Amino acid sequence: MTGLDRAAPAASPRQRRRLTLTVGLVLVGLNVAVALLTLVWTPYDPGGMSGGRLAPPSLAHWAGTDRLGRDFFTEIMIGARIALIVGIGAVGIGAALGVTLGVLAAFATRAADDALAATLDILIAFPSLLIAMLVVAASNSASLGSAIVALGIALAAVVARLTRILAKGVLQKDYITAARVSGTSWPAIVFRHVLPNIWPTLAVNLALQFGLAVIAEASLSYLGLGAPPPNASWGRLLQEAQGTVYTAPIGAVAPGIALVLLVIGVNLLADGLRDVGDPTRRVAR
Amino acid sequence: MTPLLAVDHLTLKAGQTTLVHDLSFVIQPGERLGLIGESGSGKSLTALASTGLLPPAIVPHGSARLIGHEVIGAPDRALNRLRGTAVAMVFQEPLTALDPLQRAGRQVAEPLRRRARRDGRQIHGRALERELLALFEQVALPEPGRIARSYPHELSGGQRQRVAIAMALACRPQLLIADEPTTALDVTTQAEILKLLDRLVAERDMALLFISHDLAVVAGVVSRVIVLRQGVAVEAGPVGEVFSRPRDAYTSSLVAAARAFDAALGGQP
Repeated sequence: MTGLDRAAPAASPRQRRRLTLTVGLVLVGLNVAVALLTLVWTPYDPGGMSGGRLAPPSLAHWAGTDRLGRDFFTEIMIGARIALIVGIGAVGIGAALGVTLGVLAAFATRAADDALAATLDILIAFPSLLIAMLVVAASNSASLGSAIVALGIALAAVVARLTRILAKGVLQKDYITAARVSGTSWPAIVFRHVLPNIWPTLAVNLALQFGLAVIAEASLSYLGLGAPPPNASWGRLLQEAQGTVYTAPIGAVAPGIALVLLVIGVNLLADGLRDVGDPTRRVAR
Repeated sequence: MTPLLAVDHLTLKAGQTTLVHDLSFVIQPGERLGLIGESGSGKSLTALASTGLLPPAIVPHGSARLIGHEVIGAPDRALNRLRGTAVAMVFQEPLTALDPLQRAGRQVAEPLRRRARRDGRQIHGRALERELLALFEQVALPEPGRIARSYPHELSGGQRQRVAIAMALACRPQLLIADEPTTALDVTTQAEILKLLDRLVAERDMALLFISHDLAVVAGVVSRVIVLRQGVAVEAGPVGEVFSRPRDAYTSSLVAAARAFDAALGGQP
């Protein structure tokens, strides 16, 4: 082995990272574009019958029709919008609540920290489905909003625990002591040192949670705890396709593919963005 | 005259274990004190206690007064005003002493601006950058402009320590605490950093609390030393006296070890 052999890699780490970011951007961008498009235009009226029942894919109906004769492709496009709303809403609530709690716990006195940590562990041990049912019961009716709130709360516990551990690690670093010796106030330490330093890890986790939230909403909808009809979330489409999965498999396959593409896209995007945000991971100029 | 730092019967305990026992010393303005001892002897904890930055598990007793203000038991808010004007600190490991995600310039600019604000002066933009580059030049950083734009991982160990020193100086402290500032550096860089600290402390008329396990290093920089062993001060006095006529057995063994080390190097310092 000479050094030259190793000097000719197929793709440099930098190119690979750029590819990650690009693929992520394309997948998520596509989803966002479709979601925005449904606000002004869909191929067919989402509520109206436009063809025969359970028609197979054709030029007129790209993904066929459902059991009521509605255009399935239209429903999937609207599902993209719902998935984005759910993902952003749940991750937004989860991140806001979770990061705040986690940072507070990291800074709190021993007793308060222990109490918070125990609460979080209990909350995490609690199935998120149960939390969702509680929220739905408390708000009297299942809606997209109640599903988002429930998922956000379940997510906040996970985010809070991660934030607490990460923040504690950062707080032990000398540069925090240095900042404190030089008279930096607590809020400044949080915003200038702690949050930026835990952000790369947190961002990747939040992307993961985004994907999980979209999937969890699908299962909530599947159980009837999510958005009621006619909100065509992908989970509801899957539920409706269950009865006809042998006669019209496209009904289960198409929303499944859409779901997988979005989740992969968000994860790749987060991976790529982490590298952009972290100078130590950037390739030296 | 009020001493800069007066530590009086300071005892630090973690649970039942006593980490520092009944330690007393005083640092007057412009004075240079060395705190010597092996690792675990309580040197660094003493420094942290005198700035009110002890980890919560360690309970202090006794008194430590920074320019007349009691530190032990004081609320963080009150201490914050003292820190960054009365005292600043340089650490052992220059890699962890700098935030890895911030450019060197930004990290030093922050305490510069804060100190100016506390003096009732607002500086930003060009003026701030000018002061920053001047400070980098004072700590003998080559190409201050380039270094200011660099991230810590793009700098060498010596350069990082110089940035850390610049950060401490940005506060214009009356007392500089240097906690093993040269231990993580190679011998050549070590000598340069020591010379730099020596010059800066003299130029700026700061007091210095120098913490080290290395006798040779301490002897060159400070005028008075305290030898700590397992949290107890076993000897104190002027450098020359302590090193030439150590009264305590532990100090003698330290001095003998240092001599043996020098001899092993063939008399090379």
